[in-house]
Amino acid sequence: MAAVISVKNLTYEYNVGTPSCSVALDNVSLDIEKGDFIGLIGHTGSGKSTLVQHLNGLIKPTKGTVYLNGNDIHSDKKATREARFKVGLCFQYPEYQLFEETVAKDIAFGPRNMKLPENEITSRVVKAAMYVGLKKEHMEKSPFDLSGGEKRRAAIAGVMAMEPEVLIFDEPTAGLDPKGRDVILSLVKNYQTQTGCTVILVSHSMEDIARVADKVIVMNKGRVEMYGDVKTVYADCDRLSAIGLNVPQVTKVFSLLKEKGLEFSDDVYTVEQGFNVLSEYLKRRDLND
Amino acid sequence: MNKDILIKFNNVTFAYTSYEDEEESVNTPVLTDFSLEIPRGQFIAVLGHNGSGKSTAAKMMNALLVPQSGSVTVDGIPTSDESRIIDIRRKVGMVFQNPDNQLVATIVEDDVAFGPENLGVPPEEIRVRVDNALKAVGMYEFKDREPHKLSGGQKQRVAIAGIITMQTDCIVMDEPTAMLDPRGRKEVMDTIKMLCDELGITVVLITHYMDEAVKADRVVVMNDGKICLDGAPREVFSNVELIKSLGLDVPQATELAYRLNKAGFDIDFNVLDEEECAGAIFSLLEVK
Repeated sequence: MAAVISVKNLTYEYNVGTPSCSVALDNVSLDIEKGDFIGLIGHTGSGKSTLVQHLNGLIKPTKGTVYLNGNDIHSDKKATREARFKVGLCFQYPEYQLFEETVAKDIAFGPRNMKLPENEITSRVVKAAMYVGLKKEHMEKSPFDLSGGEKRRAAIAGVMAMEPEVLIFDEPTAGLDPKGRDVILSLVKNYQTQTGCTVILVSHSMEDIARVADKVIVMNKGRVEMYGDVKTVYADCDRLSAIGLNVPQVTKVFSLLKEKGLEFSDDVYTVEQGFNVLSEYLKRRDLND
Repeated sequence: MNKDILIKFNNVTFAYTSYEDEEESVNTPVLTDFSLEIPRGQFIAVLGHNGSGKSTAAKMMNALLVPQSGSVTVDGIPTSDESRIIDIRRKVGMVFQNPDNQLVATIVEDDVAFGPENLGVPPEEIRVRVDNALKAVGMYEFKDREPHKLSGGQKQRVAIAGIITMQTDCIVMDEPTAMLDPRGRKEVMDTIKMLCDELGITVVLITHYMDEAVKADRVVVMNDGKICLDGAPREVFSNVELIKSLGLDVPQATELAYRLNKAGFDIDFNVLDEEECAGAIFSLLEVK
Protein backbone atom coordinates (compact mmCIF):
# COMPACT_ATOMS: atom_id res chain seq x y z
CA MET A 1 0.00 0.00 0.00
CA ALA A 2 1.18 3.47 -0.79
CA ALA A 3 1.85 5.95 1.96
CA VAL A 4 -0.53 8.90 1.79
CA ILE A 5 1.54 10.85 4.30
CA SER A 6 5.21 10.39 4.78
CA VAL A 7 7.18 12.22 7.46
CA LYS A 8 10.96 12.27 7.13
CA ASN A 9 13.36 13.32 9.90
CA LEU A 10 10.93 15.86 11.28
CA THR A 11 12.23 18.06 14.08
CA TYR A 12 10.33 20.95 15.59
CA GLU A 13 11.59 23.37 18.20
CA TYR A 14 9.46 25.92 19.99
CA ASN A 15 10.85 29.40 20.71
CA VAL A 16 14.05 28.91 18.73
CA GLY A 17 16.79 31.32 19.77
CA THR A 18 15.26 32.11 23.17
CA PRO A 19 16.12 30.66 26.58
CA SER A 20 12.80 28.80 26.59
CA CYS A 21 13.68 26.88 23.42
CA SER A 22 12.34 23.33 23.65
CA VAL A 23 12.23 20.38 21.30
CA ALA A 24 8.66 19.24 20.62
CA LEU A 25 9.50 16.73 17.90
CA ASP A 26 12.83 15.03 17.69
CA ASN A 27 13.75 13.51 14.33
CA VAL A 28 10.44 11.78 13.69
CA SER A 29 10.03 9.60 10.61
CA LEU A 30 6.89 7.65 9.81
CA ASP A 31 4.56 6.62 6.98
CA ILE A 32 0.77 6.70 7.13
CA GLU A 33 -0.71 4.11 4.77
CA LYS A 34 -3.76 4.98 2.72
CA GLY A 35 -7.03 3.83 4.26
CA ASP A 36 -5.64 3.07 7.71
CA PHE A 37 -7.41 3.96 10.92
CA ILE A 38 -4.62 5.04 13.23
CA GLY A 39 -4.80 5.83 16.92
CA LEU A 40 -2.27 8.38 18.14
CA ILE A 41 -1.58 8.21 21.84
CA GLY A 42 0.81 9.83 24.30
CA HIS A 43 0.56 11.98 27.40
CA THR A 44 0.43 15.77 27.32
CA GLY A 45 3.67 17.21 26.00
CA SER A 46 4.62 14.04 24.12
CA GLY A 47 4.43 15.91 20.81
CA LYS A 48 1.27 14.39 19.36
CA SER A 49 -0.57 17.67 18.77
CA THR A 50 2.55 19.26 17.29
CA LEU A 51 2.88 16.28 14.98
CA VAL A 52 -0.68 16.44 13.66
CA GLN A 53 -0.42 20.17 13.06
CA HIS A 54 2.53 19.47 10.79
CA LEU A 55 0.53 17.05 8.67
CA ASN A 56 -1.63 19.73 7.10
CA GLY A 57 1.00 22.43 7.08
CA LEU A 58 -0.22 24.50 10.03
CA ILE A 59 3.28 24.34 11.46
CA LYS A 60 6.42 24.43 9.36
CA PRO A 61 9.10 21.93 10.41
CA THR A 62 12.32 23.28 11.94
CA LYS A 63 14.04 20.42 10.11
CA GLY A 64 12.75 17.61 7.93
CA THR A 65 9.94 17.19 5.42
CA VAL A 66 6.28 16.19 5.30
CA TYR A 67 5.15 14.50 2.07
CA LEU A 68 1.53 14.23 0.97
CA ASN A 69 1.11 11.69 -1.84
CA GLY A 70 4.83 12.03 -2.51
CA ASN A 71 4.92 15.86 -2.68
CA ASP A 72 6.65 18.06 -0.12
CA ILE A 73 3.80 20.13 1.34
CA HIS A 74 6.06 23.15 1.77
CA SER A 75 7.61 23.04 -1.73
CA ASP A 76 5.40 25.95 -2.80
CA LYS A 77 2.23 27.80 -1.79
CA LYS A 78 0.04 25.63 -3.98
CA ALA A 79 1.25 22.45 -2.30
CA THR A 80 0.60 23.92 1.16
CA ARG A 81 -2.90 24.98 0.16
CA GLU A 82 -3.56 21.52 -1.19
CA ALA A 83 -2.41 19.97 2.10
CA ARG A 84 -4.90 22.17 3.98
CA PHE A 85 -7.76 20.75 1.92
CA LYS A 86 -6.62 17.16 1.62
CA VAL A 87 -5.70 16.75 5.26
CA GLY A 88 -8.62 17.80 7.45
CA LEU A 89 -7.84 18.65 11.04
CA CYS A 90 -10.54 18.62 13.66
CA PHE A 91 -9.18 20.36 16.76
CA GLN A 92 -9.91 19.66 20.40
CA TYR A 93 -13.24 21.13 21.47
CA PRO A 94 -14.11 21.95 17.82
CA GLU A 95 -17.48 23.37 18.91
CA TYR A 96 -15.66 26.50 20.10
CA GLN A 97 -14.99 27.29 16.45
CA LEU A 98 -18.60 27.37 15.31
CA PHE A 99 -19.42 30.90 14.23
CA GLU A 100 -21.97 31.05 11.39
CA GLU A 101 -25.63 32.06 11.57
CA THR A 102 -26.91 28.60 10.81
CA VAL A 103 -25.59 25.07 11.12
CA ALA A 104 -25.84 24.60 7.34
CA LYS A 105 -23.73 27.71 6.69
CA ASP A 106 -21.17 26.63 9.23
CA ILE A 107 -20.74 23.21 7.64
CA ALA A 108 -20.53 24.89 4.21
CA PHE A 109 -17.67 27.17 5.29
CA GLY A 110 -14.87 24.74 4.35
CA PRO A 111 -16.23 23.68 0.94
CA ARG A 112 -16.98 27.34 0.13
CA ASN A 113 -13.36 28.25 0.85
CA MET A 114 -12.37 25.51 -1.57
CA LYS A 115 -14.30 27.50 -4.21
CA LEU A 116 -16.52 24.55 -5.10
CA PRO A 117 -19.67 25.11 -7.20
CA GLU A 118 -22.81 25.89 -5.18
CA ASN A 119 -24.63 22.61 -5.95
CA GLU A 120 -21.56 20.63 -4.90
CA ILE A 121 -21.40 22.59 -1.63
CA THR A 122 -25.06 21.84 -0.91
CA SER A 123 -24.70 18.15 -1.58
CA ARG A 124 -21.60 17.94 0.60
CA VAL A 125 -23.34 19.70 3.47
CA VAL A 126 -26.24 17.25 3.28
CA LYS A 127 -23.89 14.28 3.15
CA ALA A 128 -21.73 15.49 6.04
CA ALA A 129 -24.80 16.20 8.18
CA MET A 130 -25.96 12.67 7.49
CA TYR A 131 -22.64 11.17 8.58
CA VAL A 132 -22.82 12.93 11.94
CA GLY A 133 -26.52 12.30 12.41
CA LEU A 134 -27.75 15.90 12.29
CA LYS A 135 -31.32 16.15 11.12
CA LYS A 136 -32.95 18.55 8.71
CA GLU A 137 -34.49 20.60 11.52
CA HIS A 138 -31.03 21.27 12.96
CA MET A 139 -29.67 22.74 9.76
CA GLU A 140 -31.39 26.12 9.87
CA LYS A 141 -30.84 26.62 13.61
CA SER A 142 -28.09 28.76 15.04
CA PRO A 143 -25.22 26.46 16.02
CA PHE A 144 -25.33 28.06 19.46
CA ASP A 145 -28.83 26.70 20.06
CA LEU A 146 -27.65 23.11 19.73
CA SER A 147 -26.81 20.86 22.68
CA GLY A 148 -23.14 20.27 23.51
CA GLY A 149 -23.04 16.92 21.70
CA GLU A 150 -24.83 18.31 18.64
CA LYS A 151 -22.45 21.28 18.47
CA ARG A 152 -19.49 18.96 18.41
CA ARG A 153 -21.07 16.86 15.67
CA ALA A 154 -21.83 19.99 13.62
CA ALA A 155 -18.17 21.05 13.92
CA ILE A 156 -16.99 17.59 12.85
CA ALA A 157 -19.37 17.73 9.85
CA GLY A 158 -17.67 20.96 8.81
CA VAL A 159 -14.37 19.12 8.43
CA MET A 160 -15.97 16.08 6.77
CA ALA A 161 -17.66 18.33 4.19
CA MET A 162 -14.24 19.18 2.80
CA GLU A 163 -13.95 15.47 1.96
CA PRO A 164 -10.28 15.29 2.90
CA GLU A 165 -8.19 12.24 2.05
CA VAL A 166 -6.86 12.20 5.58
CA LEU A 167 -9.01 13.17 8.51
CA ILE A 168 -7.36 13.93 11.84
CA PHE A 169 -9.33 14.16 15.08
CA ASP A 170 -7.59 15.65 18.10
CA GLU A 171 -9.33 14.13 21.13
CA PRO A 172 -12.83 14.21 19.66
CA THR A 173 -14.45 12.72 22.78
CA ALA A 174 -12.85 15.00 25.41
CA GLY A 175 -15.37 16.30 27.93
CA LEU A 176 -18.27 14.18 26.68
CA ASP A 177 -20.36 11.83 28.79
CA PRO A 178 -20.05 8.07 28.10
CA LYS A 179 -22.96 8.01 25.68
CA GLY A 180 -21.73 11.08 23.79
CA ARG A 181 -18.32 9.45 23.55
CA ASP A 182 -19.77 6.24 22.07
CA VAL A 183 -21.77 8.23 19.52
CA ILE A 184 -18.72 10.16 18.28
CA LEU A 185 -16.50 7.09 18.09
CA SER A 186 -19.02 5.09 16.11
CA LEU A 187 -19.79 7.90 13.68
CA VAL A 188 -16.07 8.39 13.00
CA LYS A 189 -15.69 4.65 12.48
CA ASN A 190 -18.70 4.49 10.13
CA TYR A 191 -17.44 7.45 8.16
CA GLN A 192 -14.08 5.79 7.71
CA THR A 193 -15.58 2.44 6.66
CA GLN A 194 -17.93 4.06 4.17
CA THR A 195 -15.54 6.55 2.58
CA GLY A 196 -12.34 4.52 2.91
CA CYS A 197 -10.43 7.65 3.87
CA THR A 198 -7.45 7.64 6.20
CA VAL A 199 -8.22 8.57 9.81
CA ILE A 200 -5.87 9.57 12.60
CA LEU A 201 -7.51 9.73 16.03
CA VAL A 202 -5.65 11.38 18.89
CA SER A 203 -6.80 10.11 22.27
CA HIS A 204 -5.73 9.52 25.84
CA SER A 205 -7.92 6.47 26.09
CA MET A 206 -6.30 3.20 25.07
CA GLU A 207 -9.70 1.57 25.27
CA ASP A 208 -11.30 3.99 22.80
CA ILE A 209 -8.43 3.45 20.39
CA ALA A 210 -8.71 -0.33 20.73
CA ARG A 211 -12.37 -0.08 19.79
CA VAL A 212 -11.88 1.75 16.50
CA ALA A 213 -8.27 1.77 15.27
CA ASP A 214 -6.23 -0.78 13.30
CA LYS A 215 -2.85 0.65 14.16
CA VAL A 216 -1.40 2.74 16.97
CA ILE A 217 1.35 5.33 17.14
CA VAL A 218 2.67 5.93 20.66
CA MET A 219 4.49 9.24 21.13
CA ASN A 220 6.84 9.93 24.02
CA LYS A 221 9.13 12.90 24.58
CA GLY A 222 8.87 14.07 20.98
CA ARG A 223 9.68 10.70 19.48
CA VAL A 224 7.71 7.79 18.09
CA GLU A 225 8.00 5.28 20.90
CA MET A 226 6.00 2.52 19.21
CA TYR A 227 4.10 2.12 15.94
CA GLY A 228 2.31 -1.00 14.83
CA ASP A 229 -1.00 -2.82 14.85
CA VAL A 230 -3.05 -2.50 18.02
CA LYS A 231 -2.33 -6.05 19.17
CA THR A 232 1.44 -5.76 18.92
CA VAL A 233 1.67 -2.38 20.60
CA TYR A 234 -0.78 -3.13 23.42
CA ALA A 235 0.99 -6.40 24.20
CA ASP A 236 3.69 -4.30 25.85
CA CYS A 237 1.56 -3.08 28.75
CA ASP A 238 4.48 -2.40 31.07
CA ARG A 239 6.14 -0.08 28.60
CA LEU A 240 2.89 1.82 28.02
CA SER A 241 2.30 2.24 31.77
CA ALA A 242 5.88 3.40 32.22
CA ILE A 243 5.34 6.33 29.85
CA GLY A 244 2.24 7.45 31.73
CA LEU A 245 -0.55 5.88 29.68
CA ASN A 246 -3.63 4.37 31.20
CA VAL A 247 -3.86 0.67 30.44
CA PRO A 248 -7.55 -0.41 30.18
CA GLN A 249 -8.94 -1.97 33.35
CA VAL A 250 -9.90 -5.17 31.52
CA THR A 251 -6.30 -5.59 30.36
CA LYS A 252 -5.21 -5.22 33.99
CA VAL A 253 -7.69 -7.93 35.01
CA PHE A 254 -6.08 -10.29 32.52
CA SER A 255 -2.55 -9.53 33.66
CA LEU A 256 -3.65 -10.27 37.24
CA LEU A 257 -5.09 -13.59 36.05
CA LYS A 258 -1.80 -14.29 34.34
CA GLU A 259 0.07 -13.65 37.59
CA LYS A 260 -2.15 -16.25 39.21
CA GLY A 261 -1.14 -18.72 36.53
CA LEU A 262 -4.17 -18.43 34.26
CA GLU A 263 -2.96 -17.50 30.85
CA PHE A 264 -5.31 -16.29 28.14
CA SER A 265 -4.54 -14.47 24.93
CA ASP A 266 -2.69 -11.18 25.39
CA ASP A 267 -4.98 -9.04 23.27
CA VAL A 268 -7.79 -8.13 25.62
CA TYR A 269 -8.46 -4.38 25.91
CA THR A 270 -12.22 -4.08 25.77
CA VAL A 271 -14.99 -5.65 27.85
CA GLU A 272 -16.28 -7.30 24.67
CA GLN A 273 -12.97 -9.07 24.02
CA GLY A 274 -12.62 -10.09 27.68
CA PHE A 275 -16.10 -11.52 27.72
CA ASN A 276 -15.54 -13.51 24.51
CA VAL A 277 -12.24 -14.97 25.67
CA LEU A 278 -13.59 -16.06 29.04
CA SER A 279 -16.96 -17.34 27.90
CA GLU A 280 -15.41 -19.43 25.14
CA TYR A 281 -12.89 -20.86 27.55
CA LEU A 282 -15.61 -21.75 30.06
CA LYS A 283 -17.87 -23.30 27.43
CA ARG A 284 -15.05 -25.44 26.12
CA ARG A 285 -14.16 -26.56 29.63
CA ASP A 286 -17.76 -27.49 30.39
CA LEU A 287 -17.93 -29.56 27.20
CA ASN A 288 -14.78 -31.44 28.10
CA ASP A 289 -16.14 -32.42 31.49
CA MET B 1 -30.76 15.03 63.80
CA ASN B 2 -27.95 12.58 64.42
CA LYS B 3 -25.87 13.41 61.36
CA ASP B 4 -24.23 16.77 60.80
CA ILE B 5 -25.69 17.84 57.46
CA LEU B 6 -23.57 20.47 55.68
CA ILE B 7 -25.59 20.97 52.49
CA LYS B 8 -29.26 20.26 52.22
CA PHE B 9 -31.51 20.42 49.12
CA ASN B 10 -35.15 20.49 50.03
CA ASN B 11 -37.62 19.87 47.15
CA VAL B 12 -35.69 22.13 44.82
CA THR B 13 -37.08 23.06 41.42
CA PHE B 14 -35.16 25.00 38.82
CA ALA B 15 -35.74 25.75 35.15
CA TYR B 16 -33.79 27.74 32.59
CA THR B 17 -35.81 30.12 30.49
CA SER B 18 -34.83 30.84 26.91
CA TYR B 19 -36.49 33.45 24.76
CA GLU B 20 -37.15 32.51 21.16
CA ASP B 21 -38.36 36.05 20.51
CA GLU B 22 -39.67 38.84 22.70
CA GLU B 23 -43.07 37.31 23.33
CA GLU B 24 -42.37 33.63 23.44
CA SER B 25 -40.31 32.00 26.16
CA VAL B 26 -39.45 28.36 26.63
CA ASN B 27 -38.97 26.85 30.07
CA THR B 28 -36.55 23.96 30.30
CA PRO B 29 -36.88 22.26 33.68
CA VAL B 30 -33.52 21.15 35.05
CA LEU B 31 -34.24 20.10 38.62
CA THR B 32 -37.63 18.87 39.70
CA ASP B 33 -38.48 18.35 43.33
CA PHE B 34 -34.85 17.56 44.04
CA SER B 35 -33.80 16.64 47.57
CA LEU B 36 -30.33 15.67 48.79
CA GLU B 37 -28.46 15.78 52.08
CA ILE B 38 -24.68 15.93 52.18
CA PRO B 39 -23.20 15.17 55.61
CA ARG B 40 -20.06 16.99 56.71
CA GLY B 41 -16.85 15.14 55.78
CA GLN B 42 -18.36 12.96 53.08
CA PHE B 43 -16.76 12.34 49.68
CA ILE B 44 -19.66 12.17 47.29
CA ALA B 45 -19.50 11.56 43.53
CA VAL B 46 -22.32 12.76 41.29
CA LEU B 47 -22.89 10.99 37.97
CA GLY B 48 -25.32 11.72 35.19
CA HIS B 49 -25.27 12.31 31.44
CA ASN B 50 -24.92 15.83 30.06
CA GLY B 51 -28.10 17.73 30.76
CA SER B 52 -29.09 15.61 33.76
CA GLY B 53 -28.92 18.63 36.06
CA LYS B 54 -25.77 17.83 37.98
CA SER B 55 -23.91 21.07 37.18
CA THR B 56 -27.00 23.08 38.08
CA ALA B 57 -27.18 21.28 41.42
CA ALA B 58 -23.47 21.98 41.93
CA LYS B 59 -23.91 25.69 41.29
CA MET B 60 -26.64 25.79 43.93
CA MET B 61 -24.25 24.52 46.56
CA ASN B 62 -22.54 27.90 46.87
CA ALA B 63 -25.35 30.15 45.77
CA LEU B 64 -24.19 30.74 42.19
CA LEU B 65 -27.77 29.75 41.47
CA VAL B 66 -30.68 29.81 43.87
CA PRO B 67 -33.74 27.56 43.70
CA GLN B 68 -36.96 28.84 42.12
CA SER B 69 -38.90 26.82 44.63
CA GLY B 70 -37.79 24.71 47.56
CA SER B 71 -34.62 25.57 49.43
CA VAL B 72 -30.91 24.89 49.66
CA THR B 73 -29.17 25.40 52.98
CA VAL B 74 -25.46 25.42 53.64
CA ASP B 75 -24.64 24.76 57.28
CA GLY B 76 -28.17 25.88 58.05
CA ILE B 77 -27.99 29.13 56.05
CA PRO B 78 -30.50 29.38 53.20
CA THR B 79 -28.72 30.29 49.94
CA SER B 80 -31.63 32.58 49.07
CA ASP B 81 -30.56 34.93 51.87
CA GLU B 82 -28.50 37.46 49.89
CA SER B 83 -27.08 39.08 53.01
CA ARG B 84 -25.33 35.80 53.86
CA ILE B 85 -23.87 34.96 50.46
CA ILE B 86 -20.35 35.77 51.65
CA ASP B 87 -20.77 33.34 54.56
CA ILE B 88 -21.92 30.64 52.17
CA ARG B 89 -19.02 31.18 49.78
CA ARG B 90 -16.64 30.94 52.74
CA LYS B 91 -18.02 27.52 53.46
CA VAL B 92 -18.27 26.08 49.95
CA GLY B 93 -15.67 26.61 47.21
CA MET B 94 -15.81 25.51 43.60
CA VAL B 95 -13.38 24.10 41.04
CA PHE B 96 -14.49 24.05 37.43
CA GLN B 97 -13.69 21.92 34.42
CA ASN B 98 -11.41 24.17 32.44
CA PRO B 99 -8.06 24.74 34.19
CA ASP B 100 -7.40 27.79 32.00
CA ASN B 101 -10.51 29.66 33.08
CA GLN B 102 -10.01 29.94 36.80
CA LEU B 103 -6.49 31.15 37.50
CA VAL B 104 -6.38 34.93 37.77
CA ALA B 105 -2.87 35.96 38.83
CA THR B 106 0.44 35.89 36.96
CA ILE B 107 2.30 34.00 39.69
CA VAL B 108 1.13 30.75 41.29
CA GLU B 109 1.35 31.94 44.91
CA ASP B 110 -0.50 35.18 44.11
CA ASP B 111 -3.28 33.17 42.60
CA VAL B 112 -3.54 30.94 45.66
CA ALA B 113 -3.58 34.05 47.88
CA PHE B 114 -6.42 35.66 45.93
CA GLY B 115 -9.22 34.07 47.98
CA PRO B 116 -7.98 34.87 51.51
CA GLU B 117 -6.98 38.39 50.39
CA ASN B 118 -10.56 39.00 49.41
CA LEU B 119 -11.72 37.62 52.72
CA GLY B 120 -9.53 40.18 54.52
CA VAL B 121 -7.22 37.64 56.15
CA PRO B 122 -4.11 39.36 57.67
CA PRO B 123 -1.02 39.14 55.39
CA GLU B 124 1.11 37.02 57.76
CA GLU B 125 -1.73 34.56 58.07
CA ILE B 126 -2.14 34.48 54.27
CA ARG B 127 1.55 33.62 53.88
CA VAL B 128 1.16 30.62 56.17
CA ARG B 129 -2.06 29.45 54.53
CA VAL B 130 -0.65 29.75 50.99
CA ASP B 131 2.50 27.81 51.85
CA ASN B 132 0.53 25.08 53.59
CA ALA B 133 -2.01 24.77 50.80
CA LEU B 134 0.67 24.58 48.09
CA LYS B 135 2.51 21.94 50.10
CA ALA B 136 -0.73 19.99 50.57
CA VAL B 137 -1.35 19.77 46.81
CA GLY B 138 2.33 19.16 46.04
CA MET B 139 2.85 22.44 44.19
CA TYR B 140 5.06 24.29 46.69
CA GLU B 141 8.15 24.22 44.50
CA PHE B 142 6.12 25.85 41.73
CA LYS B 143 5.04 28.84 43.86
CA ASP B 144 7.04 31.38 41.81
CA ARG B 145 6.00 30.00 38.42
CA GLU B 146 3.59 31.45 35.91
CA PRO B 147 0.30 29.51 35.95
CA HIS B 148 -0.06 29.38 32.16
CA LYS B 149 3.17 27.41 31.89
CA LEU B 150 1.89 24.59 34.10
CA SER B 151 0.30 21.35 32.90
CA GLY B 152 -3.48 20.93 33.19
CA GLY B 153 -3.19 18.73 36.27
CA GLN B 154 -0.88 21.24 37.94
CA LYS B 155 -3.26 24.10 37.15
CA GLN B 156 -6.16 22.23 38.73
CA ARG B 157 -4.07 21.54 41.83
CA VAL B 158 -3.29 25.26 42.07
CA ALA B 159 -7.01 26.01 41.77
CA ILE B 160 -7.69 23.51 44.57
CA ALA B 161 -4.95 25.11 46.70
CA GLY B 162 -6.67 28.47 46.17
CA ILE B 163 -9.76 27.06 47.82
CA ILE B 164 -7.89 25.29 50.62
CA THR B 165 -6.48 28.71 51.66
CA MET B 166 -10.03 29.95 52.12
CA GLN B 167 -10.50 27.11 54.62
CA THR B 168 -13.89 26.18 53.25
CA ASP B 169 -15.75 23.24 54.74
CA CYS B 170 -16.60 21.86 51.33
CA ILE B 171 -15.15 21.86 47.81
CA VAL B 172 -17.48 21.24 44.88
CA MET B 173 -15.69 20.12 41.72
CA ASP B 174 -17.46 20.10 38.38
CA GLU B 175 -15.63 17.60 36.15
CA PRO B 176 -12.19 18.79 37.29
CA THR B 177 -10.41 16.03 35.34
CA ALA B 178 -12.38 16.14 32.08
CA MET B 179 -9.72 18.10 30.21
CA LEU B 180 -6.72 16.33 31.71
CA ASP B 181 -4.56 13.45 30.51
CA PRO B 182 -4.24 10.25 32.59
CA ARG B 183 -1.30 11.61 34.56
CA GLY B 184 -3.10 14.89 35.36
CA ARG B 185 -6.21 12.97 36.35
CA LYS B 186 -4.25 10.86 38.77
CA GLU B 187 -2.64 13.95 40.33
CA VAL B 188 -6.03 15.55 40.88
CA MET B 189 -7.62 12.35 42.22
CA ASP B 190 -4.75 11.87 44.69
CA THR B 191 -5.27 15.48 45.79
CA ILE B 192 -9.00 14.90 46.28
CA LYS B 193 -8.32 11.83 48.42
CA MET B 194 -5.93 13.93 50.50
CA LEU B 195 -8.60 16.64 50.98
CA CYS B 196 -11.00 14.08 52.40
CA ASP B 197 -8.66 11.84 54.35
CA GLU B 198 -6.22 14.38 55.78
CA LEU B 199 -8.01 17.73 55.84
CA GLY B 200 -11.48 16.34 56.49
CA ILE B 201 -13.00 18.54 53.78
CA THR B 202 -16.37 17.57 52.33
CA VAL B 203 -15.93 16.90 48.59
CA VAL B 204 -18.61 16.84 45.93
CA LEU B 205 -17.12 15.47 42.71
CA ILE B 206 -19.04 15.60 39.46
CA THR B 207 -17.46 13.23 36.97
CA HIS B 208 -17.95 11.06 33.91
CA TYR B 209 -15.17 8.71 34.94
CA MET B 210 -16.44 5.66 36.76
CA ASP B 211 -13.01 4.75 38.10
CA GLU B 212 -13.07 8.08 39.96
CA ALA B 213 -16.57 7.57 41.28
CA VAL B 214 -15.69 4.19 42.85
CA LYS B 215 -13.23 5.99 45.12
CA ALA B 216 -15.99 8.06 46.74
CA ASP B 217 -17.86 7.23 49.97
CA ARG B 218 -21.15 7.67 48.19
CA VAL B 219 -22.35 7.84 44.58
CA VAL B 220 -25.42 9.73 43.46
CA VAL B 221 -26.72 9.12 39.93
CA MET B 222 -28.90 11.84 38.41
CA ASN B 223 -31.27 11.68 35.48
CA ASP B 224 -33.77 14.29 34.27
CA GLY B 225 -33.22 16.48 37.29
CA LYS B 226 -33.89 13.70 39.78
CA ILE B 227 -31.82 11.28 41.80
CA CYS B 228 -32.29 7.76 40.54
CA LEU B 229 -29.58 5.94 42.48
CA ASP B 230 -27.93 6.87 45.75
CA GLY B 231 -25.65 4.70 47.84
CA ALA B 232 -22.18 3.28 48.34
CA PRO B 233 -20.31 2.73 45.03
CA ARG B 234 -20.68 -1.05 45.33
CA GLU B 235 -24.40 -0.79 45.81
CA VAL B 236 -24.89 1.73 42.99
CA PHE B 237 -22.75 0.00 40.38
CA SER B 238 -24.51 -3.32 40.90
CA ASN B 239 -27.41 -1.75 38.93
CA VAL B 240 -25.57 -2.33 35.67
CA GLU B 241 -28.62 -2.32 33.38
CA LEU B 242 -30.14 0.81 34.88
CA ILE B 243 -26.87 2.74 34.74
CA LYS B 244 -26.29 1.72 31.12
CA SER B 245 -29.82 2.70 30.19
CA LEU B 246 -29.10 6.20 31.52
CA GLY B 247 -26.25 6.56 29.03
CA LEU B 248 -23.58 6.01 31.68
CA ASP B 249 -20.93 3.37 32.22
CA VAL B 250 -20.05 1.06 35.04
CA PRO B 251 -16.36 0.29 35.64
CA GLN B 252 -15.02 -2.17 33.04
CA ALA B 253 -14.29 -4.71 35.77
CA THR B 254 -17.93 -4.63 36.92
CA GLU B 255 -19.21 -4.88 33.35
CA LEU B 256 -17.04 -7.89 32.51
CA ALA B 257 -18.20 -9.82 35.60
CA TYR B 258 -21.78 -8.76 34.96
CA ARG B 259 -21.76 -10.00 31.37
CA LEU B 260 -20.33 -13.35 32.42
CA ASN B 261 -23.00 -13.62 35.09
CA LYS B 262 -25.69 -12.78 32.55
CA ALA B 263 -24.35 -15.43 30.21
CA GLY B 264 -25.13 -17.98 32.91
CA PHE B 265 -21.79 -18.32 34.66
CA ASP B 266 -21.79 -18.40 38.42
CA ILE B 267 -19.77 -15.26 39.08
CA ASP B 268 -20.27 -12.47 41.60
CA PHE B 269 -20.53 -9.21 39.65
CA ASN B 270 -20.47 -7.01 42.70
CA VAL B 271 -16.86 -6.07 41.97
CA LEU B 272 -15.44 -2.59 41.55
CA ASP B 273 -11.82 -2.84 40.46
CA GLU B 274 -9.46 -5.10 38.56
CA GLU B 275 -8.30 -6.99 41.66
CA GLU B 276 -11.82 -7.90 42.75
CA CYS B 277 -12.77 -8.84 39.20
CA ALA B 278 -9.70 -11.05 38.74
CA GLY B 279 -10.52 -12.64 42.12
CA ALA B 280 -14.09 -13.37 41.07
CA ILE B 281 -12.99 -14.85 37.74
CA PHE B 282 -10.36 -16.90 39.52
CA SER B 283 -12.89 -18.46 41.86
CA LEU B 284 -15.24 -19.09 38.95
CA LEU B 285 -12.49 -21.04 37.19
CA GLU B 286 -11.41 -22.86 40.35
CA VAL B 287 -14.85 -24.24 41.18
CA LYS B 288 -15.49 -27.53 39.48
